[in-house]
Amino acid sequence: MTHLSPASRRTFLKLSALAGGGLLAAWHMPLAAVEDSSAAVDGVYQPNAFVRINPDNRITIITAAAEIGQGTLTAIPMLVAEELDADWDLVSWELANSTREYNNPKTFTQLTAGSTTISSLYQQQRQAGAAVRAVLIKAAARKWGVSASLLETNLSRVIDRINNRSATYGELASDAARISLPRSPTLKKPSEFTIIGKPKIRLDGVQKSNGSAKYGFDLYLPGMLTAMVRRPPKFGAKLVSFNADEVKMSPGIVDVVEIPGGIAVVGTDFWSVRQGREKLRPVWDYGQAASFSSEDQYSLYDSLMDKRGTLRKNTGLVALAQLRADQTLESTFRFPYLAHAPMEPLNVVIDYRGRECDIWCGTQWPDADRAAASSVLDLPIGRVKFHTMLSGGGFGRRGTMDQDFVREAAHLAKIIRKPLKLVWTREDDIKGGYYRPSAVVRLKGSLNKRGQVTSILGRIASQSVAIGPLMEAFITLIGEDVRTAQGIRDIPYDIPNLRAEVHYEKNEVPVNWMRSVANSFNIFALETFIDELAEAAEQDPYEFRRNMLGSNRRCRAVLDVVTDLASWASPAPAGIYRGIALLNSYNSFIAQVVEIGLDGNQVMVHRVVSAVDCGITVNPDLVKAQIESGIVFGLSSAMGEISIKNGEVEQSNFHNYPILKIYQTPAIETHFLSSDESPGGVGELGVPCVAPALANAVYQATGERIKSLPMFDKDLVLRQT
Amino acid sequence: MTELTINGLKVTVEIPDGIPLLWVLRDYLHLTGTKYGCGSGFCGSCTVHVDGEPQRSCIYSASNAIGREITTIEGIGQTPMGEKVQKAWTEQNVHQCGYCQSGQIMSAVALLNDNPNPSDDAIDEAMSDNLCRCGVYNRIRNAIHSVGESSQ
Ligand code: FES
Ligand code: FES
Repeated sequence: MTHLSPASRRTFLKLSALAGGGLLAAWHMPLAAVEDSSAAVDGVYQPNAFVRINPDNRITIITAAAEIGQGTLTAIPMLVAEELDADWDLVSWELANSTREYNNPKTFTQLTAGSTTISSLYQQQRQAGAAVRAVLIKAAARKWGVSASLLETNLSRVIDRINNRSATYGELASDAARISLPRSPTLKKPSEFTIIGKPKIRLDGVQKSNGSAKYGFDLYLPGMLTAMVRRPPKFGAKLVSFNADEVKMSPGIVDVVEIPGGIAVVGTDFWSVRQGREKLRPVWDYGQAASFSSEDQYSLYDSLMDKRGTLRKNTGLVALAQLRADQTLESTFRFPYLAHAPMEPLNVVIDYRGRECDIWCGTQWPDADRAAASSVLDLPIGRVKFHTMLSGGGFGRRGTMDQDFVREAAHLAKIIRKPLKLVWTREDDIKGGYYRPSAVVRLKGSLNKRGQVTSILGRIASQSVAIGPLMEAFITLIGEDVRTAQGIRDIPYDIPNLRAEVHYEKNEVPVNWMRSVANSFNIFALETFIDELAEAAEQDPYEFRRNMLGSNRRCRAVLDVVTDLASWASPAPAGIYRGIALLNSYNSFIAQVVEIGLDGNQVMVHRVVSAVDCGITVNPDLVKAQIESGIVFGLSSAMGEISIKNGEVEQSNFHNYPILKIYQTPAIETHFLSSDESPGGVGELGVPCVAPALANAVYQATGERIKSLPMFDKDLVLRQT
Repeated sequence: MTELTINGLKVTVEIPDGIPLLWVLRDYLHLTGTKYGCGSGFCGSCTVHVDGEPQRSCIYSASNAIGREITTIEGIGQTPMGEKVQKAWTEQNVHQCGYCQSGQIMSAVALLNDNPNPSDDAIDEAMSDNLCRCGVYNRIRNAIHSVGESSQ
C-alpha cells in the first residue's frame, strides 16, 4: 500500500459525469476552490481536467507539464495508463490549461525545469490512475452484484473471469463517476508494469510529422494582429523618442506604441511588421546602459579570483590541506554567455477584452506567466485563462524569473485591445538576453605523496540566475542548489577538504538558467581539472576517478560500464584519442567517453559512449533521446558564444551563433544500467560531460589544456589560445 | 490578386509586394506546418518543395512561385515517399519538440526522391542546412536509411 504524500494531498481528484456519457476526473484544491469558479462553469474550458473517459472507450489524459520536446506528453500518460490498466492504443493527450490544481506536488508550481517533471510526478500521476481504476472496478461490481475483489482489469476493460463477462471502461464510466475515489489506492509493483519501461512511440509524433501539431506561433484568432518589439541595442538603455508617424505609413502597419522595454510595432502580418520595424529610428539614452565588453568582464572576474567569495560549501580545512600538500595545481577557466535559441522563437497570443483575457503560449512556467499577466492587466487571476501550447524547444528560455515575454504581451494588450500575436524574430531571440551567464571558474587542488586529492577550492564569478522571490522559493523547494556553485559544492568524489565560493556580479545583461544551469560550466572546469590532477598523480583518469568514489556506488557503476563499453583498458587505435567525464545530477548518474580524431586543428568527434543510471525509465526510448539531445546540445555549447562589445551583443542569427549540424554529429551509444530506484532527471543529464570529456581527449592529442570556451568554431576548428 | 498552386489546389490571395512564400503560407493561408526559425535561410525549418525542389520559403519570394507547384508538409503525406518518411519519423521517435521537423521531412523527401538509398555522405550533403536544436540528427539519419533500405 502506498500512501499519498503530504504534498500530493494538497490537490485531490474529483469525478463528474460527462454530458452524453463518460467520466471526467479533475484536480481540486481545498483552499483554492474559488480561484477558477468563473471559468469552471464554461464547459469548453475545463481548467483542471485530468482524465476523460468517453463512452466509446477512448481515454484522454491531460498533462500539466509543458511539452518542450522532452516527451512529457507521452511519459505522463504512460504513468496514468499503467495504473489505470488502459488500452494504450486508445489513449490520447491534451495539454492542460494553467490553474493551481496542476501545480507540481514537489515544487508547488507548474515550472517545467530542473529535470523535475517525471521525478516529482511519478507517484502522484500513478496514484491518480490507480484511483480511477478502482472506481471503475467498483462500478462493475455494483452492476454485476459481485465483490470487487473478484474482478480484474486489462486493456480498458473490467473482467469477471468467474462469470465470463466483461465491460469496457467507457461503458462503466458514467456509473463510476458517482462513486467516490479511494484516497490510497494500491499501486503496481515495478515487476507488474506493462506500459512503464516500454519504448512507446510518442503520442504527439503523428501530428509533428504531418504539420498539424499546433505551437503558439501557429495560432490565428479572427482579426488578430501581429506585433514585434524593438528593444534597445544596449541592455538598460532608455527610450527618448521615435518616429511613429513615419512607421505608421509603412504598408500593413496599424500602430506603433511605446511599452515598457521598447517600441511595439503592430500590423497585419509578420512580414509587414518586420518591414515596418526596420523603418524605426529610435533615439536612446545610454546613460544607464551596459557599456562593457566581454573582455572587460573577464578581467573583472579574473581579478575576483584572488578574493574570498560567498561561501557555498566548506568541509574540512582547505587552506591547511593545501599548505601541507605534496603538490598543488591551479587552473582558471572562462565561459561566455550562451543563448538558448529554441527553434521556435518566443511568441505570445493574447486576447484582452477589458474584463477578461485569454493567453496562448508555449511556456515552461504557465502559472507564473498567468499571474504576471493578471498583475499587469490588473485582473483577478480567475479572469485570465491561460492555454499552454506546444513549445518548439525551451531549454530554460521559456521559463524566466520575470516572465518577460508574457509581461510584454500584457503591456501591449492593455494599449491595443485586439487579439494580438507578439513574436520574436530570431535576431530578437539571439540579441534579447536571458542568457546562460558568463563565468570565470578557478580551481585549486592539492595532492598528497600517494597521489590522492586532499583538497579542492573552487571559486566562481558569475551572475546569479536565482534572483527574486519566485526563484528563491522554487530552489528551496526542490532541495537542489541550482545556483552558481552547483557541480562543485556537490562534487561526487570523496574530497576530504572542499570549499566552494562564489562572487555574484550584477550588470545590465539579463541572465537565466539554461539546460544544466551552472553544471554547464562548473563540470567543464571540474572534469578537465580532475584529469590534470590525475596526470600530476601519474594515474589513469578512469582509475583516478574511481578511487575517489568509495561511497558512491552508482557513480562507480556508470564509470565501470562506460570504460568497459569503450574498451578504455586497451590502447586507442592510431589517430583516435579518448577522454572521460562523470556527473551526478538530479539523482541521476552519467559517465561518458568521447573519441576524437584531429586533422590539423580540426576536431572530428567520432563517438560518444555513455553509461547512465537514472533509476526507472518510464519510456526508455525517450530517455535515450534526451541523452542524445543533451550530447548535441553540449557540443553546440562548446562551439557558440554570445559576446558583448561596448554593451552590444555581437551575434544575431545562426550564421554567427552556430549550433551543431548533422554532419558534425558523432555516433552516440547510450547504455542504461537497470535500476529499480525512482526516476531521476534526464533532460539535462547528457549536456555537461561531453565538452570536458572532449577537451580531455584533445589534451591526449595535442598536449594542450582547453581553459576557455568556446573551444572551437563552427567548423570544429580549435581556437588558438 | 495572386494565384498559387499549393498541394495540388489553386488558391487566390491578395498579398503585399515582395512577401516571402513562408508568410503567405502562414499568415495568409494559415498553413502553419511550415515553420519560421531564422528568416534568413540558415535553419531549414521553412523548407517546402517548389516543382519538387526543396526551397527555403523564408527567402523565396511568393511571386516567384506563381505557375509552379508548391508542396508543403500538409501535402507531402499524399505522395508515396512523403507517407513513408512521415511513418518512419513517427515510428522511430525522431521528434522531440518537433518544430524543425517539417523542414527536416521536406528535405529528406526531396533527397530520397532523388536518391532512393542515400549514403551517409549524401545525407550529410542534403541535410546539413536543416538545424535541429533538440539535436535529433542521428535519428534523422537512421530514419532516412530505413526508408532507403525498404526501397531496395
Ligand atoms: S526560417 Fe527559412 S531557413 Fe530558417
Ligand atoms: S526536434 Fe526540436 S528543433 Fe528539431
